[in-house]
Amino acid sequence: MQFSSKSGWPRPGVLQETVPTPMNKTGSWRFLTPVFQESNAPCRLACPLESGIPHWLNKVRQGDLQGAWQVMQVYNPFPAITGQVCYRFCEEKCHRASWDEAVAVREVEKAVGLWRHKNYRTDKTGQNGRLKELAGKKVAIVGSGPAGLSCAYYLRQSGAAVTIFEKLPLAGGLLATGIPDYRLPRDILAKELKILEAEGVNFRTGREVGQEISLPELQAQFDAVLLAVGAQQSRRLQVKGEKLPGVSGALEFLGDLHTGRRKAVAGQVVVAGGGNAAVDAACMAKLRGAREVSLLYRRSREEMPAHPEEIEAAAAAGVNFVFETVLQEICGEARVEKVCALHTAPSRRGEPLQVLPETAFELQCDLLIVAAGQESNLPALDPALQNAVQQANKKNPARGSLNLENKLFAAGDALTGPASVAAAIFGGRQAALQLRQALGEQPGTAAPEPSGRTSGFNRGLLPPAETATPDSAAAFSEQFKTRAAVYPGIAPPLQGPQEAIGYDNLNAFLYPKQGRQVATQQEAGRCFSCGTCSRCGVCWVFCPEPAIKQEPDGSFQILLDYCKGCGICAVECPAGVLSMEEVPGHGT
Amino acid sequence: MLQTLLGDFPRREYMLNGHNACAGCGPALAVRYLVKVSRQEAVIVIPASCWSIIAGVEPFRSLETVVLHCPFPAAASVGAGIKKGLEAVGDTRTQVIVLAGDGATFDIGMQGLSGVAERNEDLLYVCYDNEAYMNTGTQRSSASPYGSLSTTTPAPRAKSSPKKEIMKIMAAHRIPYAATASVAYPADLMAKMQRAMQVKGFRFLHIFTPCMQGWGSPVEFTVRLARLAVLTRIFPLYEVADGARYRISSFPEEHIPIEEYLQGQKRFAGLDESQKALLQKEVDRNWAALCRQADHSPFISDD
Ligand SMILES: Cc1cc2nc3c(=O)[nH]c(=O)nc-3n(C[C@H](O)[C@H](O)[C@H](O)COP(=O)(O)OP(=O)(O)OC[C@H]3O[C@@H](n4cnc5c(N)ncnc54)[C@H](O)[C@@H]3O)c2cc1C
Ligand SMILES: Cc1ncc(C[n+]2csc(CCOP(=O)(O)OP(=O)(O)O)c2C)c(N)n1
Ligand code: SF4
Ligand code: SF4
Ligand SMILES: [Mg+2]
Repeated sequence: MQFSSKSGWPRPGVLQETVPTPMNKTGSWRFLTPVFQESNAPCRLACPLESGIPHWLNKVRQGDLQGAWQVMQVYNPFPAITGQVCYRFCEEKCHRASWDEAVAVREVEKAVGLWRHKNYRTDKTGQNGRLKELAGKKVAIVGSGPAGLSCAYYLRQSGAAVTIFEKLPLAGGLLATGIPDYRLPRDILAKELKILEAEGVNFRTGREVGQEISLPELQAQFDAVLLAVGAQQSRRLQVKGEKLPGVSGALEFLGDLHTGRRKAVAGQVVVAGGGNAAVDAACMAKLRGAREVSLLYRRSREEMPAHPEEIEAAAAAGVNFVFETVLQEICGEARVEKVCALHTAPSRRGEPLQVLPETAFELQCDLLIVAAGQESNLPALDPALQNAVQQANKKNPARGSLNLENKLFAAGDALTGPASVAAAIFGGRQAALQLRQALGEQPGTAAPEPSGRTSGFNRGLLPPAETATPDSAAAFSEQFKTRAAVYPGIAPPLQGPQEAIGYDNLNAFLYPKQGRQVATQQEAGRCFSCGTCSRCGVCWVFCPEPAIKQEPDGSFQILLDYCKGCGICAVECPAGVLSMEEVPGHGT
Repeated sequence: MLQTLLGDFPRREYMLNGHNACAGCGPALAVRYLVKVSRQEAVIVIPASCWSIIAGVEPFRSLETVVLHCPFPAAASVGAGIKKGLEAVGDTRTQVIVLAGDGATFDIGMQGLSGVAERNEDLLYVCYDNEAYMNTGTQRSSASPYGSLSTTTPAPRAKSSPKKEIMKIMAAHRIPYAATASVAYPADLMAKMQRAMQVKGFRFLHIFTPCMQGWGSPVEFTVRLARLAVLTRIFPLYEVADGARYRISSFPEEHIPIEEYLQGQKRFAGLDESQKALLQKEVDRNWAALCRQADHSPFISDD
C-alpha cells in the first residue's frame, strides 16, 4: 500500500496485517445466477430488413459513424435511400414510444447513409470485393431496382463479377421512375449508383431481357441469374373508355415525369385508386401544375392501402380526396373529357363492394390516371415463371428470395408483389446469400453458436468503441462468424423465438424523458437498446459486491466466485439482457 | 446519458468483493460509491452496525483504506478526535469519514453528533439510512418511517410517529454542507461526496440505503425501491449550505403516488387506506415545504 507515502501516517504495514476479503468466496451463497441472453428488439422484428437497429444506433451514440456504417451495411447497404423513403416500420414498434416518443430511427439511418456518401473512397486497385470466395463467378441481375442493386452490392462484396440488365435507359427501378423526387432526391440515388459502379458493378441499361437478349441466352452466358424485374404491370380497371388518349397508368405517368418525357401537367386531373402509386401520382400531378386533382377511392380514408405519410403529403399539396367512389365510365370523343362515377356503401377492405346506383355524378377530366394495382413482371418475361414460382415456393417457402431452378433466382417486388424499398433490399440480400451458396463456395467455417446460455457478456455483438478503426471491417465480420455459421458481412439471424422483448423487461427509468432530439448522436442515445447489450455498464454500476468486471475489450463478465445472486443487475439492465435463473451446480 | 454514467464513473474499486453483506445490500452499494471518491486518502470510523461486519471482522478487511471501529454512540467524537490527532502530527490532508447507521446517528449517537456539529469539527459524517437497527435484527429507530413494522413495532402496532427529520436538525446546526443522496442515483451521490470532501468544517451526508431483509422485499429491488423513494418524493434529493440555502437535486417529473413505493414492502403491510392517505399528505407537505425553502433561499454553490 502506498497509503503512508504523503502524510507519514499511518505507518506502513497497517493494512498488511489484515486479510483482504476476496479469499471469502461469497459465490457459494448464490442460488440464482444472472444469465446473459440477448433477444429481439421490436424494431428489428418490424423492419423488413431485420436491421440490427440497436447495434448501429449504439455506434452512432458513441459518435462512431464509421462503425455504424460497418454494422449497417451488414443489413442495409443503402441507408441514405431508406433514410429518405422507408415507411419507418421500426418506429411504429419502438418501445421508447411507451416512455416518451419513438426513436427517430429513420433520421439516424439517413445520417449514417449520408456519412457513407461523403466518406466513400474507391479502392484504386479495383479490388473492392472484401472477400474472394466468388472470384471468377459471373452473375447477371435482371432489373436495377432496389432488389437488384442490393444483391449486386453483396455479391461484389464476395468478389463475383456482377452485370445488371435494365430495360430502361436509366437505372434504379422505381427509385428512379416511381417514387416522387420530392421524397427521394435523385442526387442521392445517383450517388448510390456511382458507388456501385466504383465497386465494380457493370450496368447495362437500355437492355431488356426477353427483347435484346433472351433469358436462356443469359443463363448460358452467366453462372447464375437473378430476376429482380419488379411488379410494374398495371392492372386494368375494366371500364368503358380505358383506351382513350388522356388515360394513363400511374406508373407510366410517374415514369414519364421523372424521365423528362412529360414536362408538366395542366388542367383537371382525376386519379383512380387508393394505393401508394395513386396517391403519389395525384401529389406529383398537383405539384407539377395541374389546376385541380381529384383522387377517387372506393372506400374510406382509413381503408386506403397507401401509407398515411403519403396521404398526408398529398392532402398538404392540395389533392381532393373523394372517398367511397368508383369509376363507371370514361367519356370523350377523341380523348378523355369527363368521367362518370358512382358512390359506394361503406365497406372494409376485403369485403365485397356495394355500388349505390342512384348516386351517379360526373367530373370534368383532362387527364385520367389509373392506379388499379400492379402485378409481377415475371409472367411478362416468361409465362412459365409464374408456375415455377409456385412450385419452388411449395418446396422451400421464400424468405425474401426464391431459388426457381438451378442457378435461377427471383427477389423483390417480382416475387412478393408490390411491397417496399426495404423489403426489396432484403430480398436482394437474401438472394446474394442463396447465390453464394449455389455458386458453391464454402459456408463460414466456424461452428454454429450453441443456443445454450452463458453468464458472460463477452458475446455482446458490438466491438468495443476503442477498436473501431477504419480497418475494423474484417475484424468486425469475424465477430459475426463466431455467432453463427454465416458469411462475413451477412446479417446474423434473429435471436431465439421470433418474438420481441417486452417493454416490461426494460428499465426505462434510467432514461430521462425527452422527445426527439435534433442532434443525430443524441437521438441515437435515446434508444433503449432493447434486448441488446450496449455495454452501457449499468449492471456493473449497481452491483453491491462488486462482482461484475469489465474486460479490456469492453465486455462485462460476472465473477461467479463472488456474485451472491441478488439480481439487482437483472432488474436494472436497461436492455433486458439479464435474467436470474437456477443454474445446476450453482448454490443449492 | 447511460454512456456518461459509465464514462465518468471511476472504475477503480476500493471496496473489495468477498465482503459479508447480505445479497443486494443497499449500504454496501452506497459505500462502494463513497470510497470510489475518497479512495485511500481517508480514515473511516465505523460504530457498531451492519457496516462493522461488512468492513470485516478481525482479521478481515473489505475496504482498501484505514478503518477504525468504535463504540455505538461514539462515532462523531471518535472521528473528531482522530482528525485533531492527525492535525497534531501535521497531517492536514487525510479526511476523516464517519460511516454510521441510522440508529447510531438519529438515536444513540445524537448528542455526540450534535456537539461535533456545533463545534464545526472538520469531519465528514455519513449516515447510511436503512431505517432501523438492522444488524441486530430490525428494531425500529427514530429513522423508521411512519407505519413501518419492526420487531419492536410488530403488527398490528406499526410505528405511529413520523420519521425524525434529521436534515432539519443538521441544518439547525448551521453546518457548512449537508446533503441527501440515494444508491439509485450514484452519479449524484458521488458528486455530493466530492463536494463534501472539498468543504472544510462539519459535513453531513444522509444516504438512503434500502435493506431488503429488514423491509421485507425481494432482494433484487434494492435500487428500484431507492429510486421510487426519490420519484415518489418520500426521500427527496437536495443539498443545504450553511444550514440555510437549499438546492433540490432532482425534480421528479410526475407525481407518482406513494402507494407505488409502499407496495411490495412487507414492513408497510399493516397500513390501511386512511393511513396511506396520511402518509401521502405528509410526503406532499414536506415536498412543498422543501420547494418553498429552495425557492426562498437559492443555493450559492462554491463551484
Ligand atoms: C409510386 C410508388 C411510390 C413508392 N414509394 C415508396 C416509398 O416511399 N417507400 C418504400 O419503401 N416503397 C415505395 N414504393 C415501393 C417500392 O418502390 C418498390 O417496392 C421497390 O422499388 C421494389 O423494388 P424491386 O427492385 O423489386 O423492383 P423495381 O423497383 O420495380 O425495379 C424493377 C426493375 O426491373 C426492370 N425490368 C423489368 N423487366 C425487365 C426486363 N425484362 N429486362 C430488364 N429490366 C427489366 C424495370 O425497368 C425496373 O427498373 C413505391 C412504389 C410506387 C409504385
Ligand atoms: C451501546 C450498544 N448498544 C447496542 C449495541 C448492539 N448493536 C450493534 S449494531 C446495532 C444496530 C445498529 O443500527 P444502525 O445504527 O441503524 O445500523 P445498521 O445495523 O442498521 O446498519 C445494535 C443495536 C451495541 N453494539 N452497543
Ligand atoms: S429500413 Fe425502414 S424499418 Fe428498417 S430501420 Fe430503416 S427506417 Fe426502420
Ligand atoms: S428503443 Fe431502440 S431498440 Fe428499442 S425499439 Fe426503439 S429503436 Fe429499437
Ligand atoms: Mg440502520
